[in-house]
Parts: sequence; structure tokens; C-alpha cells
Amino acid sequence: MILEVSDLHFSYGSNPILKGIDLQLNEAEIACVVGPNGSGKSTLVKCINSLLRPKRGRVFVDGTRISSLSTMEIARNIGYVAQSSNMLYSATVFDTVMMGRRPHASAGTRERDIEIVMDILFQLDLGSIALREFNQLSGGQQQRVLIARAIAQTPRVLLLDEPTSALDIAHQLEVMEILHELIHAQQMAVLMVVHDLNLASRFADKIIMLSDGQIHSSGTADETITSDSLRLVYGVETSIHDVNGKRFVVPLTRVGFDAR
Amino acid sequence: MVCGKRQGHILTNLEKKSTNHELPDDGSPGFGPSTEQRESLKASYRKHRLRKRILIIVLIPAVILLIGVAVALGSADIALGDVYRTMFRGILGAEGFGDSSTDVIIWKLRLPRICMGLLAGIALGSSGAVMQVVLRNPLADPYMLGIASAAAFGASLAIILGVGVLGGDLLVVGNAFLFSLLASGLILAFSVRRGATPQTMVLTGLALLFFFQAMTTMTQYFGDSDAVRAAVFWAVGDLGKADWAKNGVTALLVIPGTLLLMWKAWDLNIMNAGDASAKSMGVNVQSVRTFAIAISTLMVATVVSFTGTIGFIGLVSPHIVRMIVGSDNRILIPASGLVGALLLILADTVARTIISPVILPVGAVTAFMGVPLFLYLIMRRGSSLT
Repeated sequence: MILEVSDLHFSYGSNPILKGIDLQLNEAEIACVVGPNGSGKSTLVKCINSLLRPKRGRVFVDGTRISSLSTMEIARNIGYVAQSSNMLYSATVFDTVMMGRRPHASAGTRERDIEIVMDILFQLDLGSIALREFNQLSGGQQQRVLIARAIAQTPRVLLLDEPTSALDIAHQLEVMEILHELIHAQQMAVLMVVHDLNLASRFADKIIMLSDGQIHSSGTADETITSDSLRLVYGVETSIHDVNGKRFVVPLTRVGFDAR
Repeated sequence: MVCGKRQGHILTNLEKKSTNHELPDDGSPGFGPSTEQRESLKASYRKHRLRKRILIIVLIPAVILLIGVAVALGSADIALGDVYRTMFRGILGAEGFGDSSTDVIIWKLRLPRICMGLLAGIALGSSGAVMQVVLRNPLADPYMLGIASAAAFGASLAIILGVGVLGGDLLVVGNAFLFSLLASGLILAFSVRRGATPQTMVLTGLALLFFFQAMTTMTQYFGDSDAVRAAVFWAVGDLGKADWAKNGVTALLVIPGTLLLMWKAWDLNIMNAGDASAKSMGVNVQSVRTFAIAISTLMVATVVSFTGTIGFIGLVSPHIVRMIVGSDNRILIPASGLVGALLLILADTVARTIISPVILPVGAVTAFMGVPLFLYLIMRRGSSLT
């Protein structure tokens, strides 16, 4: 087991956001966190890598408790791709990915860092745009650069907050395929927040459905994405289909509203 | 695409946890691109970085040349060659130095002023670049946090009411310095508070700025007109107050300060990605921000105490550098300092010579030169000033 979260609580002031989250993640697994807006998905991700300080509960990566580590040590274990990606002042793709080497930086490693960054650039097909400015890239390219930057940290766990929501369908698939390949190549686990239930159903080894700060259900797509759970959690009547052996959700109406 | 279709994606070359951090001995990439493609990318990356560094290499002799020209220009004409010869002899402490009137004009009258221009320009330019990053605001400059208005209030107290912490020659300068330190201390106290964001710091700084302006106005309201006039003159930036002692103090703070800011340049680059992302890459965002603001405000407090408020240098210099080489702080911080020095010495030379023998306050000249320059930059770049 790479990632273990137990009894995680978080609140903004007296307003509880997470109310006791437990989850485990193994190497080479992709877990998708789904749930309605405001259910605590982004907060969960930020509590895992200590961007937010949980009120209660523990997070372990490879058996090491995260709260006992420094910012630098956490960065060596957990990579993070934030929801909004714009850089105030842009850098080249090469330098942007190089920033991911920060937690490993020590004197005399520059040449090696360049080699590692180049490996990642070519692996993610960024070689040809390596000297372009980040802010001038398309959304799909930017998302690939940000994943590359997080991979340069050589993390055990990669956290992504809605990496696909601003992308077209081709680039959504591309991001998912990249992650699918990386979990094996990098011997890591991926925990990502997604809104698209069909994308989650297709690529996730595990789906964690949050509802109001608690895990409503977790497990395979068959176990979690059901008409009953979607009605309860999202308040939406759905029709669930089978497409190439994967669950496919078509939302119909909100509960209590007539179909248009 | 250089490497065509993504293929395989086996990250054999990448270091793995638990194992050591060595690359394979044979040096052959385990996937995708050929050796030539790797070498060509590495070479272009190197070239790209070198191209940025060239700006620094060009700016240093440009500043030295401008210093020479600035010293040569003035009511007593001095040849450029004599200027460098005298400077050289003065630095080496050559025998018989200081005997000729040329020596005196250069060493006692013109050089202290121009040297202060150099140091103040470096301090304003480099701290302006850093402020724009840590405050996440392309319009930020070193005065935005109220440091200059605090200094002006301190000076007004001394000049108008004769109230000061230190007496004698240091009455005005000491007051200006202590009040600007007070302002930067307040800013720092806010910056270490939990939940302090660049936005709250900008707002805090603006509040301080208006507060000290109001205090200055009140002080002036009750002062007699000659003293008020002197206080207003003090506040308008001017390099004429410089002597070698003041240059020494300024250099002691500005040179190490700029080097310390450059030392944090890479972390500042990473902070452009946003606080959360920077922290996730191992940067202790809060402490880098506090450090950068402490160093910048200290440098600016020193400069402002000796020169008064010299506007626009800290705002314009980083933007000029950004237009030429982009926003990499490793280059931006030193280059903005050098551009700041160039602009300030140039403005001071104009101020001294344009309607000689009257010497205009350089703070007004920088604004006259800076505003059109800045408008030009905005028009050229449109909304992409960032």
C-alpha cells in the first residue's frame, strides 16, 4: 500500500468540510474522487499533501506519516497538479518542468537534473515545445507540462485536481492515457478529482464517491456508480448503460423536477 | 513533433525510489527520442540560457560607460579618458591624488552623486522585480508598501518640528530611516500572520502609505512655510545629498541585499506557479516571501533615507527586462538592478545638465522619462504586460 488515509477531518472555522475519510491506494492504481460541488473533493486532496492542515486524522505514504515530514520531504513523496494552472510570469516548458526538481535540489546535481527533465519531456511528447513559453501553450499542452513537472518530483503519489475539466474530449483521453502509463513506469499511485463519471468509470481502478464530506461509497465503478447512489448523492435520475464493458452514465432529470 | 508518436513510455532512465539515483551506464535513452534529438534539445536549452545571460554581460559595460559619461558631463568639461584615469587613481589611492581641481570635481562632487545613483538604481530595480513577484502584481514597486511615505513623514517631523530620534547631522536621515523601517516592520508582521496573502499585503501597504501621507500632511499643515518647503524638497528624490559615507552605508546594505535576492531567484520562479503549487514542489512559500520582502524593504528604506522618493525606476526597470529576456528571476533580478542604475544615472545626468546651472530634482525627471516609456510598453504589449 502506498497511500493510506485514516479518519481525516477538516473544517473551515466551525464549518466541517471532511468528516472522517478513510482510503487506501496501492501502487499502479488510479483512484478517482467524484462527488457534487462542495462535497470536499479538493479539500481532501489538499489535506493529503498538507496544503491544508487536517483537524484530525492521519495520512501515510509508504508507511511514513506525512505530518512528520518537512515541506521538502513531502514534495519528494507527493506530486500535485492544481486546479488552476496559470503562471503569473511564464517560464519555458523546460524550466517549468525543471521546477519539479526543486525538492531534490542539491549542489552539483544540475547536469543530472537536465537529463531527468529531458527524459520526462520526451516521454510526454514535449520535446518539440520545450523552449516555448508555458503561457503561450494550449490548455492540453499546459496540462501535460504540469503533469511532467509533478513527475519530475518522482513522487510516490500523484494528486490531480480536475485535470481534465478544461480539456476537449481528445485531450481528456490523452491525459488519462498518460496517467495510466505513468503509474506503471513510475511505480506510483494516482489520486485525482474528476467530474466526468464516465471518464472515472473507464480509467479508475477505484472510485471514491464523496457526499457532504463523507465517503458515500468506494470501490469499482460497478459498485459505486449506480442509479441509487447517483440519485442520493447528486439528486439526479440517471440511466446507466454498458459501453465496452464499462459503465456509462446518462443524466436524465434532477430528482423532483420533470424532464424537459 | 520531434519524437513522433509517443511510444512505449518506459521510464527506464528515470530514477526510482528506493534504488539509488544513478542513470544507466550506457547512456542510451531507453525509449523514444534518438541520441541526436536529446543532444540537440540540450544544446538549444544551453543556448537559450546563454542568450539570456548575454543581457547581463552587455549591461555591465554599459553602466560603466554611462558612469564615465555622466561624470564627464557638467559645467566644468572633463574628457572621458581623464574621468576613468582619475577614478582609477582614486580607487588605488595613487600618490598625489586629490591635488588637481579635476580630481576634486570628479571625486568630491560628481562621483559620490553618481555612485549613489548606481546603488539606488540597483536597489530600486532589483527590489521592484522581486516585489512584482512576491506581491503577484505587475504594478507593484518598492514604494507600494508605504516605505517611502513613512520615510517622508519621518523627515518632515525632523525638518518641520525638529523632532528626531538621532540628533545632529543624522536628524533627518535617521528619522527617515527609522520610520521606513517601522513601515517595513509592520508589513513583515502582517506577512507572517497566518493566512496572509499577497493581496492582503498590498492592501496593508496601501493603508500604511495613506496613513503616513496623512500624517505628513498634518505635520506640514502646522509647519512654517520655509520648513514645509524644505520638507517637500527633501521628499522629491535627489541624489545631491550623497557623500562617500552615505554611499558606504548604502553599499553595505544594497550589494549583499541584491545578492541575497538573487540567491532566492529560483524559489521565486517557482512561486509564480501559485502558492499551493509552489508549496507542493517543496518551496516554503511563506518564509521565502517574508525573506524577500524583508531584504527589499531594508534596501529601499536605506536608499529612500538618503535620496528621497525616486519614482518609476522600480516599476519600469523589471518590465523593460521582462520584454527582452522574459521573467526568469535568475536573470531578471540582477538585470533589473542594472537597468535601474542605467535609467537613474541617465535621468540624473539630464537633471543636472538640461537647464544648467539649475539642477532639477531627479525624482521628477524619472517620472517625466518613465511615464512615456511605460505607456509605450503598455501599448506595445497590450494586456500581456505580465
